[in-house]
Amino acid sequence: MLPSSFLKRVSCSLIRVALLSICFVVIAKSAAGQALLPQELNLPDVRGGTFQVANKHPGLFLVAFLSVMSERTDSPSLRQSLALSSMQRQYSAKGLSVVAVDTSSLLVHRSIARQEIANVATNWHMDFTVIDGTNGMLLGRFGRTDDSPTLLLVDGSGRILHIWHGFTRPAYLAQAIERELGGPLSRIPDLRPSTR
Amino acid sequence: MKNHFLIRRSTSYTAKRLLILMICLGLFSPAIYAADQYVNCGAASSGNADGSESNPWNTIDPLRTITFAAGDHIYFARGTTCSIATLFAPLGSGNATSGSIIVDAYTPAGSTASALPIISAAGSTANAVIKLSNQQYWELNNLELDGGVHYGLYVSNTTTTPLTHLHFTGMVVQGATWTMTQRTDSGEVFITSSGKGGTLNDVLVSHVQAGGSTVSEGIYVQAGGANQTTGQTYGSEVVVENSTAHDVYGDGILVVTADGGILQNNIVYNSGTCLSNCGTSTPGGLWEWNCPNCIVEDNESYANQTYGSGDGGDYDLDASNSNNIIQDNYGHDAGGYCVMLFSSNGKVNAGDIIRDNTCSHNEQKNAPYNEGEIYVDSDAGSSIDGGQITGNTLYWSPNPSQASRFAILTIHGIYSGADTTIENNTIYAETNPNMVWTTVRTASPTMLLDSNQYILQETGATPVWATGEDDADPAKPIPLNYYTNLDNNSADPQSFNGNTGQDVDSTFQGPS
Repeated sequence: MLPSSFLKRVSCSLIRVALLSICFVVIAKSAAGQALLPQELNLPDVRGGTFQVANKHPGLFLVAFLSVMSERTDSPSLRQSLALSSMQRQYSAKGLSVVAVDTSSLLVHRSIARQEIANVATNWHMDFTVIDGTNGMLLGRFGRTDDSPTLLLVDGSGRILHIWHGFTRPAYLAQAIERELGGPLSRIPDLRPSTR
Repeated sequence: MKNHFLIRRSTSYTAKRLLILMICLGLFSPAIYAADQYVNCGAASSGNADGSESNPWNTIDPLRTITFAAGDHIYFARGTTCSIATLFAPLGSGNATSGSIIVDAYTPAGSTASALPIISAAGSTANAVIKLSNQQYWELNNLELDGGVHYGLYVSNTTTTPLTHLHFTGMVVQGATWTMTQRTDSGEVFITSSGKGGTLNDVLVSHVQAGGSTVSEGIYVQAGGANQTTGQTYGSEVVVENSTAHDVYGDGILVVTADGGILQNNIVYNSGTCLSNCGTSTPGGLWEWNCPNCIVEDNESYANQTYGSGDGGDYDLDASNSNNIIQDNYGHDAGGYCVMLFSSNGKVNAGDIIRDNTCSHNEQKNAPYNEGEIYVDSDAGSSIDGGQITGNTLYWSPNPSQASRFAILTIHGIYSGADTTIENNTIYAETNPNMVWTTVRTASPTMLLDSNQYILQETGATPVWATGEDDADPAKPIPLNYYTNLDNNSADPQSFNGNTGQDVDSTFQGPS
């Protein structure tokens, strides 16, 4: 027969595991991201200063969690940067702000000097704000540990309108943006990813 | 005694070796000298400058006489500008065994600058900023080139010898001053093999921004030897990716005479901005010519224009391009078409595939020309063999003043060999009755249209299957295509030309 103290310890452990599981579920649901408050983006810009949401048009944010320091020039994160620059160029006048949160520290498992990130962001012509998310909560919620990007389209109240995992082609980004800001692609049903 | 002799002999022997070494150092100093060269054009003049990181050159001039060798590096300081009056043509080549000659950016001690180092020929008569001629195994990274007359970066092979490994990454090339008068007379990034029989192989253009000038080409790669009617040589392993070409008078990105070239994930916009006097050959956003087995994928091309009545489109799969694939691209808001498949020069374009592209709001030019979102054509003596146009999404709202001149999907020209298939495309139209226009001039092979969807948004619009005057044997729609009219107007036809139709109220209806 097992001693009662042992049974108590086991039951306590089980309760802890259950509570932990509940916590994980809650955290995971939170990470799935029903909201991303724009002011959470008020973080250091790797090229100097601090990004201030208040200075931006309140309309729409395309937030990209990507690894600036990917080693391969054809990594999904670096490939994605072209479409992000393009969206910034085409829709900023209509109220879109494109912001990238650098997730490099999750990929390389070390802290990276901001200067290093700034240099690489410049090399790859990231013509949008790149913020250092190392000290914020954002990386834990949306960052990935590989070099694939996660993209969020967020409205001014923080509501996540779209979320994309992995490299996303410009047409899909443009259609989601045009649904909010207007444009020809908003008038047709959702584009279907190719199934080739 | 013996020991003393040995010591004396050893001392003498060592001295001789040292002397020989010193002579060798003197004779061959340029090669050793070249290994790593640092240039900081923001540094004050110093008599101590020796090209080391601690005592960098503050001008580019000392590099002009050095013959660089495999494994050498040239570093330019971030946040600085080196102004030049004559083009910079560094000497030497790397090789396959010992490596490339690499140009890159560095951050000087104490600097916080992240901006790319600039080599500027602005205001000078330098024909290019950097020129590499008949050289190979070079890698230029993280550098901005400003100005030049005809070219920003000019790379050429004028010999009959193949050259290999020319990589350009992380560059900005802009502001050449020439005003284009004909195609390829100038360009920001201009890479050409102009000698008959010569080729360029392993050419990489990645994360390069080119444009902002009145030159002909944004990014131009001619990988094969001079154009020949027979015995044409082709370069190989040509990749243009992750790059941006914009605001040029002529073509955005053009790749020619490359076998198996890849153009992927590029952005092109505002090409073809010349208004007049730029020649008769009209421009395109991103296109290829004489490029067998090439792939164009994941690109965005938009707001391209033309100085003539034709072209000014987003993507052009042009002459002598067999077994090409154009897929997953996005083209919009251009003066001309979204995608063109065009055969000319008496050649056959065989086995080309245009699939899964998204096209929106093209054909905005104010010129009467029968094109469309997708435009297939050939000229006399040429033909198209077995093309596939499949899975594309087309949104049609052309320039209203020219709407009646265009069809959404224009199939014209001469066909040979296998049937050309047009299937599983989805076409949305705001205006314009011409859904598909065919003027096929051959009886066999034919055009197969299957499982396409035509969706009209215009009140009272009637889909029209249009044919042209030279239609000797028009392809017939087969009753497996669908059209949907979204305005729920009882006057709308329930079918057209044998296609199944449905009239609904603002709800997308897919095929049953």
